[in-house]
Amino acid sequence: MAAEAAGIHIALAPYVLGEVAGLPITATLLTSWVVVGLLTLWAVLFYRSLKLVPGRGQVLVESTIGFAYDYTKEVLEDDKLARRYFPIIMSIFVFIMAANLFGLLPFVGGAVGIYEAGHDKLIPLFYPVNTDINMTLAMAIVAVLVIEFAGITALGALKYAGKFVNFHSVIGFFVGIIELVSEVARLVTFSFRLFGNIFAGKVLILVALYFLPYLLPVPLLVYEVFVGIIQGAVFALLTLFFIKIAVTEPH
Amino acid sequence: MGDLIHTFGVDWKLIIAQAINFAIVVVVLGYFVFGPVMRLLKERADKIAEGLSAAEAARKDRETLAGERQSVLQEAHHNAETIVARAQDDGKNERATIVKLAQDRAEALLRDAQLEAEEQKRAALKASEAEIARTAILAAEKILRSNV
Repeated sequence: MAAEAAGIHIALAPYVLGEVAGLPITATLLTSWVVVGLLTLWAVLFYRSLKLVPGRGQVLVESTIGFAYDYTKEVLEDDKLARRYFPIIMSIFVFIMAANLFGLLPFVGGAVGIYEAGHDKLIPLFYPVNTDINMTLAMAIVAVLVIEFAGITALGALKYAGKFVNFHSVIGFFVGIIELVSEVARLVTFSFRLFGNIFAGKVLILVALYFLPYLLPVPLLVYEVFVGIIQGAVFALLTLFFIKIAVTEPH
Repeated sequence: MGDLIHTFGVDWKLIIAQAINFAIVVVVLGYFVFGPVMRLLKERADKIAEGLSAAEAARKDRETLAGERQSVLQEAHHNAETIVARAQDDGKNERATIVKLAQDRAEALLRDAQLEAEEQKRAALKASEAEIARTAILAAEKILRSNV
């Protein structure tokens, strides 16, 4: 469903650039690969420059990781659990934030693309990763799988299932059903929260660019930087809190 | 539902591809960033703890040494005082002895001098007695010669 109105082209579905062995290569997937590549490059460079007596950049990364780890430990109230889930939670934050910030760069979006002869329009080569529901859904599925895994390994499959299905009392039974529904609803809330925020931001900037290309987008871009970081943090924090709920004994 | 999936362009292959991307990020960040940083933080915390305990030990050592030095100094002071006191006593005794010795010798000298003086006086007396006798004899002889 493409909403086309006087130069602004907005589609909910990702732009398909081509297809390789049955896998559609979308602009968002390509951007995602670039983000993963850049993150990998950065990680390797960071790893090779690690020193016991740190420089300024290393201090920033270290204190961020140290702070996040301490917070994770504080929430989970368990050192072993924190050590196990911290890399995933932190990676969620870093990946989503990096993807969002990369999506604000000038060549991501409409400017650089493939000119499709038949349709007479430019298909962008790069597009903000989280404007693609496939990406946010993938992250949501991973997060929910991690949460369920955490619950099952911490409590055992039977006890964990007992949180959702129990026949102790009528109220308990319905509470269990509600818990089960909310568990599944997380998939939707996780994926659509991120998708909605970033997609809306992209649309907002596109519209602003269309109406007032020189000044208006600046504060909006600043705001989107903020939103990009916050959404990464929200996704990671919610995963952390749901893990905590999952590993807590039912009562 | 099918329409919804089509509208949003949901494709399980893309979902899997993105999940793989995320898995790569987790592995890469875990291996190159989180793991090493956590190890480094721990290593540094250990180093700091080590340094602090070393500093504490050094401080204790210093305190012990200071205490030792204090006691050594005190002892030295005490010894010095004793030595000085003894030396003073010794000096006093020595002086008394020397003074006494000097007095004795002076007395002896005086006595010798008196004795010698008396001897000389006596000798002088004896000598003058003999002179007087000779003079008297000479005078008697002269008188006798002139009368005869």
